[in-house]
Amino acid sequence: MAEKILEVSDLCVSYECARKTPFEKKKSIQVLKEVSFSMEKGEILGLVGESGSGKTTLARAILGMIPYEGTIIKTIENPQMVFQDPYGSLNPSKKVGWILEEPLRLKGGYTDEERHEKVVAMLHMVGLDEKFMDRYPRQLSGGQRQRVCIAGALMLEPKLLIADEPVSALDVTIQAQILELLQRIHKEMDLSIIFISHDLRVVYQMCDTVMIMKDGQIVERGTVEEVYFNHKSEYTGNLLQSAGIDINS
Amino acid sequence: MKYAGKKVITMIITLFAVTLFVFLAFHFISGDPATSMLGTEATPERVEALREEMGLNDPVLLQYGRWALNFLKGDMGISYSYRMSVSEMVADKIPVTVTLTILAFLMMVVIAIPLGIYTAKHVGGVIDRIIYMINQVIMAFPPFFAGILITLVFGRILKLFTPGGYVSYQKDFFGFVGYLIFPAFAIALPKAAMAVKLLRSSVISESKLDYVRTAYSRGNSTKAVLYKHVLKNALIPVITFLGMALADMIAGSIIIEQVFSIPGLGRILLTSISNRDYPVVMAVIVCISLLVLVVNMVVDIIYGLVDPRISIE
Repeated sequence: MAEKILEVSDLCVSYECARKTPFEKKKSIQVLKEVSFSMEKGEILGLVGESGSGKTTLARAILGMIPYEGTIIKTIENPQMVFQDPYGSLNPSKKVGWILEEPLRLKGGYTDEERHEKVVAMLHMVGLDEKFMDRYPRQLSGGQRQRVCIAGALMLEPKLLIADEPVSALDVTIQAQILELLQRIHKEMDLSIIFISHDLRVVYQMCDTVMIMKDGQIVERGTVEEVYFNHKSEYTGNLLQSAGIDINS
Repeated sequence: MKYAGKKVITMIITLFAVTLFVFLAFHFISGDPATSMLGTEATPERVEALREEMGLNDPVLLQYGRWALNFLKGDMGISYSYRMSVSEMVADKIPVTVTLTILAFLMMVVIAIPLGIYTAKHVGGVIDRIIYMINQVIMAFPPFFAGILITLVFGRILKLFTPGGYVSYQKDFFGFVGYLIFPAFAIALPKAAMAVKLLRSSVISESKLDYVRTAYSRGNSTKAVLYKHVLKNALIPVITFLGMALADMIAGSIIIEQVFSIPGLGRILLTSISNRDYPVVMAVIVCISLLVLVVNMVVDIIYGLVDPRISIE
């Protein structure tokens, strides 16, 4: 039995709706309804669900970026996140070197040389090199940008990475390269990954376990084989069917 | 540096086009300068002699070349109505208009940037809403009306300055600046209101971009996200606006100089237009467009420094 790195129980998140007039009653939408699950060290967990099912909200709650009710126990430090759109998620007026050094600067305790060395090492890790340090994000291709985003998330050597649709904005060939990169850093850096996606094929290829979400609740949770070949819920069956993966019939 | 050089060359070409256009326009509008100098009773022989002497029988482009060359040397011709050198008339008016514009510009920046950032940080708060409403009203003010109100409030009621009591900068520089603060405020106010609104919405829309989310997820504080990430990008459209506003202020000062009876470029422009004193009108137009062009060039160069994307391309 591997060590648990994340335990979420009875997690609820609700957003307040914007009021049209000041006289309206405050309304709120519950985005996550009593979500509970746990995650083991070294696991790649696929998080699947249609848009609006609460996947990203769950990720942001785990990172502590939004207020929530319930408990989230993390035994690892500073989990990091990679976002869907590699075009928008890098500051256009900063050079790649600056962007990658930022987490180290914020943490503090590194000399300039140490920071530089770490950035160069990380660029090599994600399949780029030190030439990229002096470039601006707009000078990079989509795949290169996503590599920079991943490098930025890994700078402080987190033990948990949340990748929110990391490949859905990329070309198919680039997708494969980025997935390969994620699998490599998973092995080399002893990293657990929560892989958010709506692409069931990619999840099958990438993940050990899957969690299916619908309307802020977890519908199904199990290993890839269990969920894909022996699912219990009808919703999972529909999802697999509409993705063209109709294994049961 | 290459980028700045390009901007300087563009400016020189534009200046050439503007002066050529101004010269040709006045060449055709103004009629015969020799007749207007000698009066209608002069004999045709005398007019013809003066025309020859002034070089008016030469081809137009040659005349332009001579005029432009003299202009560069600082000789802008002789005023018809005052019979004195235009250069002398214009030279001591330029510092007045330039000081007025610079004061107005500084006021606009000092008012707009902190208020813009403050309202963007506190969107929907009470102060944000109050500033929003005041802004809407001020933006609708034409500067001359703001000028009249300022004369009323600061001049007549609070007695902070004497309306019409302009002090020449050659006599008392601080008195001069002290007087110009109020007209500058009138010019700055509507532009500052626009700049506040623009900066506020620019910061807000910039804050919604994904890189801001990334910056938070890296562990930046709200303050660090605003000052290290958002502000620089959000300022880019504001700098464009400030540049255009500054160019506009130079032109806008013409009216304010009338309201506050300040003897600047605008003042002599208006008097010489009504006197049909074309050499003076031309000189003032060229001075004003030169100021506007220099301002635009400086703004473009600053713009390239702030936004590396521009100088790359």
